[in-house]
Amino acid sequence: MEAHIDEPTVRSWEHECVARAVQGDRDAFGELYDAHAEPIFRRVLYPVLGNTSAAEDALAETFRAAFQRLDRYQPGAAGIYPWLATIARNKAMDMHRARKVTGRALANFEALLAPLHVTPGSPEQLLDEASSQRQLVHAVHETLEQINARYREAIALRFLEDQPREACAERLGVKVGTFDVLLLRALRAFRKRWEELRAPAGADLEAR
Amino acid sequence: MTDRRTPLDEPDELPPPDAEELASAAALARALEGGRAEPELPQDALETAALLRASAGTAQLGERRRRELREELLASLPARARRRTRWPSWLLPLLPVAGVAAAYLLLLRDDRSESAALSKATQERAEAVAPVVAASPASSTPSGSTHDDGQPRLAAAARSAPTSEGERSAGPLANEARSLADDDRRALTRDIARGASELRRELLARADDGAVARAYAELDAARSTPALQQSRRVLIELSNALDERTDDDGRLIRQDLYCRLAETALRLGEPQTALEWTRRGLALDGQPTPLLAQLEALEGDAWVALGDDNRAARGYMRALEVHEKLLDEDLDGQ
Repeated sequence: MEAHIDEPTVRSWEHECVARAVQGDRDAFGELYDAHAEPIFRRVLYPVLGNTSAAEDALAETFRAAFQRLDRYQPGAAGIYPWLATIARNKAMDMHRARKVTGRALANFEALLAPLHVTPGSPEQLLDEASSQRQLVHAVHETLEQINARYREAIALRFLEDQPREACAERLGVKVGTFDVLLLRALRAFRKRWEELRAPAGADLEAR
Repeated sequence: MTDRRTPLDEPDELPPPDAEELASAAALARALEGGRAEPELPQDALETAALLRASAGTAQLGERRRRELREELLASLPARARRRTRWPSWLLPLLPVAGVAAAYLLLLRDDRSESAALSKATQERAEAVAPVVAASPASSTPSGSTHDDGQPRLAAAARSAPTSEGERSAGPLANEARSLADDDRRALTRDIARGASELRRELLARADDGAVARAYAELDAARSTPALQQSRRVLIELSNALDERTDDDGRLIRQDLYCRLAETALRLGEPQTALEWTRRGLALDGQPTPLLAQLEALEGDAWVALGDDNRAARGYMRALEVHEKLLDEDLDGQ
């Protein structure tokens, strides 16, 4: 959503879309989807599920459920995003519960993100995608700088450059099986450093 | 200010991995490429990988994908219930006539009220037994029960059920509760099946094509496995042929076909297949209709056949909710 559009205009547009969608207007609901699908996917579903295809499924389920319950939605100052985010979170938790049945590899990394989050004080902050993404990228690079160079390269190739594991193994001059082990160790080293860097100040003192 | 950096302490050489680490690394590699969650999958590493993907932007919902999902979503949205129109003011002088009509309708209502009372009793008893019937480790989550929008609902009873193995095998009390639940289930499913059957008759009467009616007649007459399988093939063809229809009746007939396909799968002893059909039917239209209640109840039946009491109880609870809603609407309408 563009930052220059003032809040009352956005809310009034949202209310109008909701009212039309409640009457069965699918295009109006499509407009709400256009405005909120991406942030719901990136800020709520992917961090809870850690799996693109599961997050896409949950996104569709979220909006389907929202459409059916739209007449129960009570417009508030923050707009419809928090309401949609609540539905999305519940859908994602349902998928975690169903993990044993579906066999999906899901990874909730909200706990890792938690130290980066600034409690949103306004709808603008809540929707400020760019700043939270910048914060995340900065924190990741800061952590990468502080782990072993070989581990850093393995992570960069596999996740930041999105290379297939065979190509990563070739670049690092190891067999694919060895690269898998290297990557596992790299991820564990990264996580350890991430948690150390983001441990609340004085936590170690309190623990004593 | 303290420098929180520490010297690099990870070895540059890769010490030989043990069997456990090798298995974890292989499971992680497969999971990262979309594989299933295997027992050896290291959850900590998978979470870290997902965090890194999120930071790289590879986990974003691309514009093209967003549009594809939008199209799929809008095409699959159920029709919203039509709002009741207000009575025009010129009908006011006709109130005395309406009074006579109301007296007549009250006679009809008696029949409905019996059904409503039965259903109310079913609900109360189902709520009472749900904690026992629904008890299973799957319902135990740190966050407890959640609903799509935080609204309370009947299934909350099932979801907040005790979960330990000890409580699951609670002995005679649990058995008694299960038997009560079975009685309720039979009463409920009978009631729901009657409603679905009435709607089916209306739909078939409105439809110009007799093919569905013929297929249903054949299915009802089928007794042997080959006959059931043959009927199933016909129903699948009919449901495929209706894919293009987006009107309300077309969607309802498809939903009904999925109901019948789920029933057939259960008769053939294929509960997993039955679940697939109920899921398709439920995804088609979420408005409360007798068919929706029937699909939820069939889902309950399929879970019973699969031995999962917890999911079965939830299916029946949802069926009960839809059923109650329909009865309320009927009573309001009269």
